[in-house]
Parts: sequence; C-alpha cells; structure tokens
Amino acid sequence: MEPNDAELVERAQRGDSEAFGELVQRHGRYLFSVAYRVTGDEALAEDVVQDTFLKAWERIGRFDFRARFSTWIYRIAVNRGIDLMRRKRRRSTEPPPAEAGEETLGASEAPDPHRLAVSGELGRQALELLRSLTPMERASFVLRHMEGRSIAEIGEVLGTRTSATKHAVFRAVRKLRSGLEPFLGEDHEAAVG
Amino acid sequence: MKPPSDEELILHYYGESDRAAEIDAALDDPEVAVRWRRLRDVLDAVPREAETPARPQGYGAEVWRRIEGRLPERSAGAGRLLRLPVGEGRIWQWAAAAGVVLLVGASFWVGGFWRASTPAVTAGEDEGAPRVLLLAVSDHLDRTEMLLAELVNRGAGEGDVSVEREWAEELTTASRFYRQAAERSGAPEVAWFLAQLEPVLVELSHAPEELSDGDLADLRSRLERGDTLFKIRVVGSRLKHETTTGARGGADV
Repeated sequence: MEPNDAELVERAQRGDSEAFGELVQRHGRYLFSVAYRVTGDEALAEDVVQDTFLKAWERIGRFDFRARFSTWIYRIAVNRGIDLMRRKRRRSTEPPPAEAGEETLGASEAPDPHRLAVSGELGRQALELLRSLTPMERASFVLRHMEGRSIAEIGEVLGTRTSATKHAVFRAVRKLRSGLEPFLGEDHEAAVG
Repeated sequence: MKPPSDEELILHYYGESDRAAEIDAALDDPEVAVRWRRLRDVLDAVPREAETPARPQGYGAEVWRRIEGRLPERSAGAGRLLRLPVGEGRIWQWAAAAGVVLLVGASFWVGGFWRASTPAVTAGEDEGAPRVLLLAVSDHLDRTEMLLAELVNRGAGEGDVSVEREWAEELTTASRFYRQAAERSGAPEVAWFLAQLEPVLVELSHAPEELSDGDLADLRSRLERGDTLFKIRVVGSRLKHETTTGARGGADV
C-alpha cells in the first residue's frame, strides 16, 4: 500500500529526501495551478512551484500535522507568489498591463458592451486588469473571487488581519470597477434605470 | 436604516456580510439597487476561473528532478514545535508558549549564542529555545521585507496604504516582542537589528491612509539609502541558515 502524505512527511522530517520527492510528485500539478491563479504568469508560476518545494523541505521540521500537507504548501506557495510578483513588478520597466489593455479597448473604439460580454472580451479585460493590482490586492482578490475562500481564511493564508484582508479585497474591487465600468456604463443605466 | 456602504455591498456579494438581511431589505431603495447592480455587473464580469496552462501527469516528477540536487541542507527536526505568529491574536498564544521555553532555555544560551567559538548545536529539546526564537525572527524579517517591498514597488497614484498600515502595526507588535525576547535571551545583535527597523514600522503604522507620490518617493529613497531591504534579506538568510543547519558564526548584524 502506498504511504499517505503524513507518513511521507514524517520520513522527510527525519531527512528522507526520497519521501519528500514523492510528495513533490504528488502535489506538483496542484501547486502549479495554485501558483498560476495567484500570479497569472506561467513562468512565474513555475518559479513559485520550485521555490515552494525548496522552502517546504527547509521548513518541514516545523510542520506540525495540524493542517494537511497540501494546505501547508498552499500557504507557502501563495506567499511566495506574492513575493515573486513584487520582485517582477519592481524589475519591470514595461507600462502596466492595464494600460496596454486600454489601448486595445480604448474609448475611441466605442466598445459595445454586449459584444464584449458575448465574446468574452470583458472577461479578458478583467483578467488584464488583475495584472495591474498590487500583489497583495491580486492575491487577496483571487483567493476570494476565484477560490471562494472566506476573508478569515485568506487572512490565515496571507498572515494578515481580517481588516487588512478586507481592505485589500475592497481596494482590488475598486480598481476593477474603475477599469471595467466604462465598458458597462450605458448597459448599466439601461438595465437599472 | 443607514444605507450600506460599497464595502458592505462587496461583502454581501461574497456572502460575508454581517447584515445580510438588512442589506437585502435596503435593496428596495432604488439608489442602493443601482449601486448593487453596478457592483454585481462588475464582479460578475470577472471570471471565476482563469484557464490554467496544462501540465502533464508527470509534471511533479519533472519538478522533483529539477530541485532534487538543490535541496538545502538542514538538520532533522529543527524547530519542530514552532507555530509562527501570523494572523490575528496568534502572536499572544505563541508568546505565552515561547515565554516558558525562553525561561527554560535562557541559562543555556545567555551570552553564548552568537559567539563564533561556540560549537554547533544539534537538534534536541534543550536547544529548542534559540532556534525557535531565531526562526521566528527570520520569518518576521521575511514579512517585514514583503511589506517594505510592497511600498517600494508602488507607482505614481498608488498611495493607498490602508492595508500596509495595519500590517505595519502588527509587525511592530511582533518586533517588540521578538526584540525583548532576544534581549532576555542573550542575542543582543538580533535585538539591536530589530530596534533599527522598528522606527520604520512605527512610522508606517501611523501613516495616513493615503500617501502622496512625494511621500512614497521619500520613503523609497530612505529605504534605498539605508540599504534596508538588502540588510533585512542578509540578516534573515543568515538566521535561517544558522537555525536550519546548526552552523554558527560571528553574526555581526
């Protein structure tokens, strides 16, 4: 019978790197999907996966079995994702992606909200706008909106207080609104008027 | 009833409002209904799932091949009992536990922890105190670096620091606790380094919610002038290295 995660962790805590390798093989794909959702960047997500497992190995002696191994590495991955997004943001000299998005969907093109919604352009525009958020805002919003985690759970993952977590989500929503409402404006008024 | 704020409507959208029934009732008000509809349309437009690039079945094995030769050395069982003080209220639980450990461990390592001549400590119950504290400080430095990096990376018009302000407040509390614990435990260099960082955290925790571009530039320039992020990274890595490998060196932090 195959050993479960807890058994592998115990062996890894005793220094058994093969057992740790088994954990990496089991959870690699899951971690990549988490990392990609948080960062929205394939190359960065790859780095997050590797860094997370390296960090997990370093800290595995501190894993106390109160959470599942997958939950534990999830937390490490989300925080590592935020960290790498920050570094990338700092290095980047390109204009923010939101601006690039505005160029393709600028007011001069008079976008039709119905067309945008139907073609999925609005969703793509929203995903572009997510790139313009700060790493903390993005991670908090993605965890709330896409992963369906509660504010309390997000605070637990990010190590932030409830009020700070809420503010990060509020700030993200405010930015998304200001970016998306121009494309929804008339439709809104017609719908609610 | 007071009309719900935009923030309350956001929580309501995600099913996390404490006043769900009241807000539902308030939606009869046309002005609130318009605000609600606009918010809902925006959030509904954001996909619930981002298409994730596919990874093959053997992806985990591929990752393992890439990192296998790069696993950092560590001593088995180091810091096994540590639960990091992150999140609301948890620091005090940790503090209570750590206080007991520090009392027991103090005599063991007062005056000796940073001495280059001290032989490396192997993992075990008696040696838990210094490692627990230093691991916690190293994680605290990670979080402090994250906070400062967040601010340093801000662009023009991104001066809303309401989240970071609370974060700084929490880190200030943690820093004071760790500094005092380090002083009591004979790690004056660690205490000194934390004392150097504290004014920055205190200043941020008392900052207005919105910083001007000039304030942000000033903060960035002060942090860069003092190489603050670099120093935090170096000291944090050093602590991590010492606590995970048991290696000791003269730590001139």
